[in-house]
Order: sequence, then C-alpha cells, then structure tokens
Amino acid sequence: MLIPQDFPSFESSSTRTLSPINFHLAENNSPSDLLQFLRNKFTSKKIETRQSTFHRWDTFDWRLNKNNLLLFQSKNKLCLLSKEATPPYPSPPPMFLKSCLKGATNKHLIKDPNLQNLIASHLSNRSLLDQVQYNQQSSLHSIFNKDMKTVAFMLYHRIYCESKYTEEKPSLSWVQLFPFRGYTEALNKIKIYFSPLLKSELKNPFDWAQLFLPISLRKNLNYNNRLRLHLDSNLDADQALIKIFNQCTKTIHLNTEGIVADLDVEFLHDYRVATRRVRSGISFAKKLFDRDALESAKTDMRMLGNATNKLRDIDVYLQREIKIKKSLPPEMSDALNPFFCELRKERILEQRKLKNFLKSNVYYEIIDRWELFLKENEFPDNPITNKISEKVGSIANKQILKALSKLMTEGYKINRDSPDEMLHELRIHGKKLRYLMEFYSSLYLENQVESFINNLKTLQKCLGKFNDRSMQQLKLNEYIKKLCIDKESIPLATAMGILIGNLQMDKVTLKCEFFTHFENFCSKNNLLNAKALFDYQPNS
Amino acid sequence: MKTISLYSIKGGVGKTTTCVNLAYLASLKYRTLLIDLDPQSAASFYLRIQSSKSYNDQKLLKGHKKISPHIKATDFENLDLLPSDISYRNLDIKLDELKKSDRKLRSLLEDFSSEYDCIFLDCPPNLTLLSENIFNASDQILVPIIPTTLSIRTFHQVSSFFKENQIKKKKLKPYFSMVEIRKKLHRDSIISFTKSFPKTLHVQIPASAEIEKMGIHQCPVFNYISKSSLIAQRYRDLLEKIETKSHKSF
Repeated sequence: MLIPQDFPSFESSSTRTLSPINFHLAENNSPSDLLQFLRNKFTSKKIETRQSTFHRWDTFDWRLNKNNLLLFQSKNKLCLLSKEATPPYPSPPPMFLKSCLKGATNKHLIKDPNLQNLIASHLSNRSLLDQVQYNQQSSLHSIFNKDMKTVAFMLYHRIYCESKYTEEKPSLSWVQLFPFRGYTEALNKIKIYFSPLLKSELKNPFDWAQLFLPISLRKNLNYNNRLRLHLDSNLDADQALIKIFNQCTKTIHLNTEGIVADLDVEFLHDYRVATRRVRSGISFAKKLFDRDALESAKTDMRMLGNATNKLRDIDVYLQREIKIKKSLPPEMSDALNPFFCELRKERILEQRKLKNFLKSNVYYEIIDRWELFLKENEFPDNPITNKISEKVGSIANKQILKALSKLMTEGYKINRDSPDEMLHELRIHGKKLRYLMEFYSSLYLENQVESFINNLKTLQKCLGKFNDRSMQQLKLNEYIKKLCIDKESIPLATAMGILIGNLQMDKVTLKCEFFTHFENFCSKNNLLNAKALFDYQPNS
Repeated sequence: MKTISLYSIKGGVGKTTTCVNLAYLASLKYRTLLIDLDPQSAASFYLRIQSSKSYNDQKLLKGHKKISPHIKATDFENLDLLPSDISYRNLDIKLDELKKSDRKLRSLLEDFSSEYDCIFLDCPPNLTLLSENIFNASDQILVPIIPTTLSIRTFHQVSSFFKENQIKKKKLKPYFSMVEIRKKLHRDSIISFTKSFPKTLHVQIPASAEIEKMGIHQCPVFNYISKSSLIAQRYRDLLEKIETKSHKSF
C-alpha cells in the first residue's frame, strides 16, 4: 500500500507495530477532533506531517477496477494492487514495479513487460487514463498511556481528490491505528473512545479508493452503452420514442467531451451508436411526429454520422494494427510501418476536424434543434391532431416484425457471388432490427429477448468484420494508387499486396461463416422464439 | 540468536542500565528482546513498561506460547521487552520443581530464535537456581565490576561457582562499571584485576550522573545525551567487544 510506505518508519519489518486497522472518518474530522476523545486516559503527540500526491490509472470504464485491480502511480513508481491478494494490504505490494509512465495515456508506454501483459489482458483496446489525482496530507501521532509509553501510532490522512473531468474536489479523512505489540487492550479502548467519529472500517485499499469512484467523466461505474429503459406497454408510442431519444441524447453529450479530448476511441464509438440509434428511431417515427421536423432531424443526424465516419474507420484500422502485422510473414511486418504512420497522421487531422466540428456553431445549432424537438414533443403545446395514437406495446411488435422480415428477405437473397454491398446493406437492416430490440427490450421477457438479441449479435458481428475488411481493402487500394513505386517502397507495396490478399481470404472465410450464422438466425428454434416474442408468422 | 546476560551477585553495580543501553544499541542492528528477570522491574521501568495483570512466573515457565502475548514493543524500533513481575521472586522454587531445572531457561529461549537475533537478560543480584539457568542459557555473561574490593570479591565468588559446577568459565566477561578514574583505588583495582583476569573486557563505563538520570527520563541514555559523548562511546565499545567475542555477528 502506498500510504504507509510514505512513512519510512512503517516498514513491514517493524517489530513495534502490528497490522493497522483503518477507519473512514465521518464528516472529514481533523486529528484534534479525534484525539480529544481520548479524554484523560491517553495523551498524544504529533511526530511528523507529510504531503504526497499519487494518481490512479484506469480506463474510462474502470476495467481494472472491475477486475479487482488498482493501479497507482507515485512519482515514477507504479503500484498494482490486487483485491484478491492476501493479506489485503500487501507489504510489499504484489507488484511494485519501477516503470516510468512519463505522463502518457497509452498502455504501450508502460515499460515493464510483466506489468504490461497483466494490465493488457484486462484492457483489450482501451487506453489507460490518469483518472484521479489524490493529494494526501498525513500526520503521524503517538498515543501514550499514563506511563507515557507509546501504545499505538495514529496515522491520519486527509485525501483531496481531483479529476480533470469535474470541478468537484471531494475529500475524505481516514485513520490508521498501528497497535504496538502487547498493547491490544489499549487499542481496543482507543477504538471505543474514537467510535463516535469512526464511520466504517476500511479493510483494504479498494474500500477507500471506491469512495472516490463517482468523479469520472462517465460517472457510473457500470457504464454500458446499452440502452437501459423501462417502457410501459401502455405508454403512447411517441412518448416512448421521446424517452429513447432522450437517453440517446444523454449518451451523445456524455461522450462528446471524451472525443474532443481524444481520451479513448470508445467515446467516438458510443457517440456514433447513439446517433445511429436516433436515426433508426426517426425512421420508425414517421406517423408519430411532425413530418418536417423529422426530416430536418434525420438530415442533422446523418450529418453527425458523416462527420465521424472517417475517424472511426481509421480507429478500427489502427486497433487491428498488431493483428494485421502478425498476419504477414515476420520479416515483413515492419514494412507496413509507413502506412500505419500515414494513418496516424491522417487520424490526427481527422480528429482535429471532428473536434472543430463538435465545437462549431453548426454543431451547437444541430443539437439545439434536436433538443428543442424533444422538448416540444415531450410536453406538446399543440399536439399533432392527425398523429396516430398507438401504444408502444402494439407498435413495437409491428416494427420489429417488419425489420425482421426485411432482414430475412434480404439475407436469403445473398449467395456466394453476391457483391460486398449486399452484405453491407444486410448489416444496416440488422442494425435497425437490433436497435428496435434494444429500444423495446423492456416490453419482453428478459431471457427470451436476450437469447434473440444474442443470435442477432453473432450474425451482426460477422457482417461487421466483413465490412471492416472491405473498408480496409478500400483504404489500401487508395493508398497504393497514391504510392510512388520505387526501390524503397517495394517492401511496403509487397506487404500491402499480401495484406489485400489476406483481407480477401478473410472475407471469403467470413462470407462462409455468414451463411452458417444466418442459418442459425433463421433456425426453427430462433423463429419459434420470435413467434413467442413478437407473434412472428413465417409468411408475414 | 545470541543470548547476553548482565549478571552480578552484587546489587547497584550498573547491570540494568548497561543491559537497557546495550539492548537499545543492539536493536539498531538486530531484532532484540530484553527480558527483565529481576522482580524489582527496573529495566521495565526504564522503558516505561508494566507487565500485564495476567502475567506471572508460571506463564514464563510454560514457554513461548504463553510468553509471547506478554512481550511488549518498546518505543524503539526492533526492541521488545518481556517485563518482569513480582511473582519472579518465587522463580527459584518453581524451577526447583521441574526436571532439568538448571536448563529450563535455555530451552525456553530457543523458541524465540526465529523472532529475534539477540536476547538480553537483566538478572537479579543473587546466586540461585535461576542464576544457574541464566549461566546455561547465555552465550556471554557480562559481569559489571565496580573497581572496589567488595565488587571484585563477588566476581571471584562467581568464578569459583563456575569452576565448582563445571560451567564454561569463558562465558564470563567482566568489565568495569561506575568507574571514577580520579580515585586511586579504582585505578589500582583495575590494574590488578586485569592482571589476574586477562579476559576482562577493556571497556570502562564511567560513573555518571547522566546514566543515573535514566530513572528520570525513563529511556536509554542515548535518547538524551550527545551521541559523541564519552558514555555513548563506551557503550558502543562494549557492544563491539561482545560482537567480536561472539566471533561473528549475532
């Protein structure tokens, strides 16, 4: 644990003190508040005070935390603590590695291979971010009995917590009581005296680190880009859609800051999913809202999607960099470096473009227009007279069935010779169905709808991969066309040629897989499930 | 683990002060336990420690498991103390009831070898069955001698006892304590004793008001005197001699 180690006198080899007990203090009380409770039974003396700063690193969605890991950085030292490690306050910590982060936000800059592997296994393609800065003021106090013999040390900490994402600077106080050997009785008395100010016992670093979790960009520890809506089947269909749109709009706002700051590619991904959900929702809302307002919103949302397309394609490409290089003969993997270097440069430009767009008046106007639309339709002054007044329960089935039929009809048209565009189109139909399922999932039995969504997801995943490969081939072809072939660029051109071939082979494999997944999706069981859920009729 | 005892039949020769100060110095390098065997509890007093109400001579004789909860950390890193208790005045009687009664202490201390590098025993001023236990348990027995006739006489009594009871005499390490070098008697006594007992440790702890003040400060002398003072230096020399005599570090 970082904190006791900041005091050299608290090394694990100490024969004076036993393992500390740790308490969270109520109401940020000061040491003197606590010590006055000792009455005349014990006295105390401050020995030293110290200030320190350390940082907590994690992904924006707290992946390390979710895997019971805490990564702290203090100056140039990293300390990874595991909740499962015993004892809970490991001394020395399970891994205490001298690795320089150099202020970087990228996991690749963690030099120690052991730490890198351990962390990477939990991160996938997420970036490590300096999530929270802890400014700690500590003071060490001796507590004496009537013989003026030290019976315990009290280490008082006040931690101020800062995050770049918020103006708030919450603080908390906690104390560590280090009993001296042979003085457990005295410690028990001290605990009783202190008890009015002690809030809860902190058994390991996680307990207090969790107290600061709420201050991150994505405030909810359980952040998930899935829609979490509860719709009543008797709710008017238009109001249900407004609820859905509001949720998506919240997600758009939640991720905008992360895209502008370029913290993690996931922010853009989730932003795009939210905008696509809105576009999809609009396409199902034709008879529920004012036609012109819907048309305008559709155009606006398309604009948001288009503004992010290029950057997302590059992100997907860069995320696959290691895998792509591994797909080449080892001696050729570095040959692609100029290409990826070019992509990274392009990414910087695209990110800057997007950032400017997200801060532009045009963007604010789009968002204002959209939010005005939502507000007006949530509490309409002049309800549209000719709108249909259907309940969401009945409209959900119709919309889902329509989308399902479309997906199946278009899917059956695809054969081994079909052009890539057909699979791309099918993916769009699949997405529409998926979004509908997500919008209305609360209207159906959770287990059944989950199983149906999972089958759809498998199909979509395959189509998504196919689409990624197509886009990557396209990008490579564009790049090759611009490439001036000379002696120096031959290895690059060769590698790209192999890569295009590999992507083609991937596509062939994926196409084969598509037929299997589509067959599964159209299987008797899945359709029986659909029948039970949405009253699906094979001929409908 | 090395066991060092501070022993003399005579009282008031500086056993306890030396024991506390040497244990403190040793604790700067080694994991150290000071065992106060004197029912007067002076060593415990110097370190501001009282024994628990539930502790007594019977617990001591029951061994590690019963002793361990009563060991107390002092205010100094790496220095623990097993405080004395008034019941120790009957220790001889209790020891007499046991088998191998002159080696009981030795077997008790062996159980602490993984926890401590050295143990200091502060002994009561007498020559009893407990003393025999101390002689058998110790690697070195430091005998403080005030350079006066009576004090030297008591050393010879101990020496004879060792001979008669076939205890290794080389364990005995006399050194001069409470020396007032301006006194001719002290100077002469030192010279003649050293000649008759060449294994005397060549360290003289001076008689000093600063050492006497340990009773007021209730801590080792090093806590309130200059580290470069003569007293500090002499105690350091004494520890060094013990380490050297041990041939290797503790």
